[in-house]
Order: sequence, then structure tokens, then C-alpha cells
Amino acid sequence: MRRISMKTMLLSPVFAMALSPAVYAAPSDAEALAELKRVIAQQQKMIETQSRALESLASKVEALSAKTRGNQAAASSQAASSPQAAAPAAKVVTSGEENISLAISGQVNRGALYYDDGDSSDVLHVDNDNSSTRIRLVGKGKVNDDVTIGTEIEVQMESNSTASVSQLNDNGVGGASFTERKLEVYFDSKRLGRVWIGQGDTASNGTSEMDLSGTSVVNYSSIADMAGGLFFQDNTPITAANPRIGLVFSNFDGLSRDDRIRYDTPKLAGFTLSASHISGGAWDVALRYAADYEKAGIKTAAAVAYADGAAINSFDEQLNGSLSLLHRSGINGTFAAGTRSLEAAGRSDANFIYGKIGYIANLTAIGDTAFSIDYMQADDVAATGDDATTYGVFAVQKLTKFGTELYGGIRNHELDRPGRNYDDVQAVLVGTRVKF
Amino acid sequence: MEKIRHLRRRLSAAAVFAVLAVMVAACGAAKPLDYTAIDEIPPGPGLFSGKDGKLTVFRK
Repeated sequence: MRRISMKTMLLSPVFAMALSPAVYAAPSDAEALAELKRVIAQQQKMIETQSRALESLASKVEALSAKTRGNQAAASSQAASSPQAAAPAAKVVTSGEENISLAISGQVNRGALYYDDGDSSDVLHVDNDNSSTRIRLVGKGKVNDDVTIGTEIEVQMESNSTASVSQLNDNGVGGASFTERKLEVYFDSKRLGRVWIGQGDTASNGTSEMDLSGTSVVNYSSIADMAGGLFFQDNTPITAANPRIGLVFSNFDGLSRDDRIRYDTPKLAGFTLSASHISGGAWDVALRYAADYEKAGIKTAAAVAYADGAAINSFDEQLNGSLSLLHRSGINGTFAAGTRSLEAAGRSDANFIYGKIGYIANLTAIGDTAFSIDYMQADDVAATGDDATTYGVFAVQKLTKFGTELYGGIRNHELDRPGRNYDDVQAVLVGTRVKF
Repeated sequence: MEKIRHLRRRLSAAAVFAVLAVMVAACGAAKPLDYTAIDEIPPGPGLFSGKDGKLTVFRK
């Protein structure tokens, strides 16, 4: 229909010319008429050629329109089913240099802590100090094939930390906390080892805590992390002078994190030797070992450390270590021990022994399920004559794909102190750690 | 009681040296193990960061 009308339009002036009185008024002979017919025929041929070209172009335009409509429909359908797919893919942050990386990571670890101290009980909503809520920024710059420079900033935010909440202070504890864990730089050479400068792990930190059980998010040798703020009570009103769980149990885990300079040797046959000097004069050395005995199906992690803490701590010297073994069957065992000589006159040396037996099962496709029981005996830690004992049962379910763990456990704490009769404190902790 | 305490202290020290002895004795044909300290954020996927467990920015 469109072609016909176009053709008619194009031909009409020609016919009008041909039929106009001016043409017939001019002197006419056979040659002039023949010439006129020839011109008309030539123009008609041109018009037909143009008409075919227009027809071809119209077909192409129609095909392109149909394709565009199809693409728009597909895009709309995809956006409706997957909003993320429709999100812009462009990077919003980029580095200005080659071989540089910045990694951002963190976790939130919240739970509910029920306690019964023999006189009262309560439920507290807590941040699990076994592995606190935190955020971390790790930067790396590769200088060459051998040397890497790195930075680490890690801070924690604990509201109602399990290490701090108590019968006397059961809410709003540490709500304004934003505390340092690591603020450091390092220079790492594959051949020469690594030097760390700043606030971070001392050489001996973690040497009482080698643990392959898979349940460390809820229990490990640092007993104070689960319910360390709670007081033992002896049926008299609790005051701040009562002994806390966190003071009568200790795993003497080196010199913790501090402002220091530290050196680690390169790993040799699974061994790493470390030493650090802490601001104020304390120092420590540590030896770590981690290996996978594939033929035997056993993974091993172990460490020992010596610390001279006299310059900044209340103890003179400390010797501690730990060992953890994990068999491919899932059965695992962990052991730690330490002894500490104290500065105060008349104080006996303090010591502890810790043991854990566990099993990591593959019960579901969503992730490993880990079980463990543990026991600790700690003597003379807070005062000469103290005998503190604790034991507990724990379970952790991993949701591997989602970076999430669900955990729960129950622990009993006992304290024998000469001249006092403290009740046991039971604590139940359930919660979840979500790594984001 | 004091004898028991003394014995426990000796046991603690002995246990630490036992750990050291196991480490030395373990110097056999084993592959190094990348051990992540338990007070670190654990390796593995994150809820938002995916399989890497961290959001890493690189310049191409």
C-alpha cells in the first residue's frame, strides 16, 4: 500500500508534464514525440529502481526494529529475575599502582549468654570475645619477586563483650568501644623473613592457642573469653572484689598484642622462629610448627614460647606451649600448658594445663559439624592457693557457602580458694559468627 | 597440698618441653601447613565477599 502511493506520487509530475497544454502547444513532430516518450520511459525506469531500493530499506528497518524490541524484552526479563545482574559492573574503587592490593574483610559474632552462679541467673546478649566483632583492612605491595610490603589495620567493636559483662554490669558494657587489635606494617622477604613494626601480635601471642578442633569460635584454651566477666559468689553480696572467671583462669598466651618490633624467620621444614621487643622493655621468643602428614592423614600445629614480661607485666617469666592434632577421620586432640613466675613477694608460680578432644563430622552438605569437650586446671593464677577447674561440651555447625557458623556450648567453672566457699558458675553460650 | 602444686608446676613445664620434643621429632617428610591462628578472621567464603572471603581491589 505504501509502495503504490509513493510510486503514484513520483509519477504524477511526469504525467502532468506530459499532458500539460504547454507540451501540446509546442511545435510537435514525430521525432519530438518519440524523444518525449523515451524520456518518460527512462524516468519510469529510474522510478522503479528507486522504488525497489526503498522497498529493500523498509525491510531492513523493519527487521532492525523487531530485533531491538526483542533485546529490550530480554533485558527487562533478566533484570526482573536477577537485580544484581542489572547492577553496573564498573569498579568504583581502583588502585593507582600495579601490584598493589587492598582487601577489606570482617565479621560479626553475637550470641546469648545464660549464667547461673549458684545464687542468681540471667540471660545476657553479648559479643563473643572468643572471636570478637571486627573489621580489617589489609594492604600489600609487591616490590619485586622477593620483597613485599604490607599494612594491616584491624579494630574491634564489642558491645557487651563476654569477657566483660557480669552480674554487676549486665548491659551497655563497652557500647562506645572501638579498640585496636592491629595497626602495623611489615616488610617480607622470601629469603630473609619478615619484620613487623607497630601494634600487633607479639612473637609469643597465640602460642598457647594452637587449635585444629573447629570449635574455637566457642571454646579454646582462653577460658576467660566465654564468660570471663562473671563473678564467683559465696552467698554474700557480690562486689567488684569477688574473683572473676577471667582472673582465675589464664592460658599464659605469651605477651598478647602490643606495640613492638617483631622478626619471623622464613618457614623451614614447617618451623618458624620469632622474636619481638615490646615497648617498655619486655621481650619474647617463640617457635611454631605446622605440617600436614598426608600419608598418616594427620595435620599438626604446635608452638612453644618464652616471655620475659617483667618490664611491663606483673610476672617475671613465662613458659608456655600448645599442640593440636587433627586426623583425617575428623578426630582431633588439643593440649596446652604453661607456667609463670610472679613478681609479688610470697606468690607461688602459677600454672595451667588444658586438654580438648573433638570430632569434625560431615553430616550435611551445608558444612562441617564439629564437637568437642575440654578441661582446664589453673592454679595460683589470681592468688596463691587458688585451684580453678573448668570443663565443657561444645558444638559448631558451619554454613560454609555463607561464611556463617552457628555454635553453642555449656561450661562449668569451679574455684577453690582457701577460707572461701564459692559456688560453681555455669555458663551457656549460643550464637553465630558471620564473616562478611 | 603443696606437694601436689609443686608436682603440677613441674608437669606444666614438662608438658611444654614435651610439645617442643614432638615438634622436633616431627621433622619428617611432611608438607608445610598454612595454619591460621584462631584469633584471626577464619579463611573461607564470606556472606557478601563470596568465595575469597574478602573484598580485594586491584588495578588491572
